[in-house]
Amino acid sequence: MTKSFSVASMQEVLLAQESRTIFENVNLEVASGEFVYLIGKTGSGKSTILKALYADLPIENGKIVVAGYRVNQLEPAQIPFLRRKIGIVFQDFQLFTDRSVFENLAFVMRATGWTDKIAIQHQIDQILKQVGIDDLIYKMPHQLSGGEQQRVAIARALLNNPLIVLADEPTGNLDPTIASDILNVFVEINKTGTAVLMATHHHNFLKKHPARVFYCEKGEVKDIDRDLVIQKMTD
Amino acid sequence: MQFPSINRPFSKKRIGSYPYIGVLVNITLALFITGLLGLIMIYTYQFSIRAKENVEVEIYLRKDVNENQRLSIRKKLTQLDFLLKDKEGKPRIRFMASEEATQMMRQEVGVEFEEFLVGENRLPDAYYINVEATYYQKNKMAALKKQIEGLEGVYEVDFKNKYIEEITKNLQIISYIFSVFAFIFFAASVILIDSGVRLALFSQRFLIRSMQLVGATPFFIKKPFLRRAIIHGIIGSIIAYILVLILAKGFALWIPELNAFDYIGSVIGLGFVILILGVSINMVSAYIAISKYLYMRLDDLY
Repeated sequence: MTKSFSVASMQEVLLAQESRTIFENVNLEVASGEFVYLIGKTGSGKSTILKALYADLPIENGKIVVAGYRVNQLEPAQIPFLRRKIGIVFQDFQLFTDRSVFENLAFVMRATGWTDKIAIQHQIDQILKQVGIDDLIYKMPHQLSGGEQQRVAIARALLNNPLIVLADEPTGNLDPTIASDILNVFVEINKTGTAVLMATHHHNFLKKHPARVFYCEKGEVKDIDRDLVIQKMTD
Repeated sequence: MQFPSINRPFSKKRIGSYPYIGVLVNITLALFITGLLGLIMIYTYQFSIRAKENVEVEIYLRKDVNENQRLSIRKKLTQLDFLLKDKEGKPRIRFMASEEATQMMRQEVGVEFEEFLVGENRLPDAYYINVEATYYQKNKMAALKKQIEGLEGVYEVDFKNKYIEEITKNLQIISYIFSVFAFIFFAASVILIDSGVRLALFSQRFLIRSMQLVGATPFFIKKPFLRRAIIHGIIGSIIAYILVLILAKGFALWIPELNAFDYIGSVIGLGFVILILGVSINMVSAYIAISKYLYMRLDDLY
């Protein structure tokens, strides 16, 4: 068994947006191969934490390390290289609407330094099989259902074999059955050794796939027991 | 093998797609306006050349000059560098004998002129020449006058100095006015193209954002947009230039004196100016707009 190491950590981080403090002192750590939920009600600041992790939100204070990059000290030119080490999945998929599934994925690969056409084709085939949509390779995004589009987005996040996938409400736009399928996709990804940090307000996921939880509430992020989370979310 | 883009209904326009036609029309129109101004400037130049070339330098001969001397003067005049030649290469020189000039004056002035002709008074023979437009400068004309007056048998050289000065002055004023217009047209073109490109890229801001989030470098993101801007600049320039040429041809057929193609070098030069303007304005606008979106926070994109 390989020894686990930290793939994402925040130490004493102060997060603010437009001079409004969201979190005063965030401390969290995700180990390699770990599955962690970031749970909280809408507006509790889950997305803010993820943005800080993928270097889209400068922090006021503290230290963030993701995939070996000291995020809060990164030069703008270094940010793309951090993002190649992580996978990001959004609630609204953020696919390129003007190109097919294959082109969506191929673009990412070319953008991140892949040049061999055969290797690109092979990797895309493999990843699409992994997320169960290998038959949709030449479809345009608007020809896909929400669940299928999210699978494409997940496939895109996996192309560069990331150390961690940051998923920001990946099931927020999907109905419960599809949402459950998407959760299973993330669970399968996690089984291959990729860490997953999933921000969600679906506390029922905890019953389906129990895992460690960071709970966002009143400007604090707490690493708490999952039963307590379920209780808090159902209050 | 599937072709999804073919299966897509034509009526369904994708949200956030790049408005190719709109941008192209915008660029073409702006460049056409600029090209039109360029054409007007060519006509102004053409007019100034014509006006200068049509001014005749009058060379009065001494009254004692005989036929042989007169022909010898003509020969010397035709050998002068600055003498204008017509399309067939013939020198633009004409002779007016004293009698002919007298006849003309009689018709113009009448009885009073008859009184003037009493005694030794008679009009001299004269040559009228047209000179290259570039010689119509004060110092050059003075040198030219001196040179011709130095020829054996030439009594006096005269040219309508005031007329030339007037033409030069007026054309200078017209040039200044056109320069101001050119600047305004150019600024309007820049604004028109720039706003078109920016507006088009505004619809692409989330695409740019997505590219950033998957780890594409700014250069990689900018590349396709800049390539497209260059292509649009080239296409817009070519269309605008063709429209300008059609217009120029139309003018030439309608008013033969207004033939811009007589100055083919200027017409070709205008094409290059349109092309360079089209490509550079388009590219710079695209570069600025993409850079803006690249360094914008997600919240500011909405």
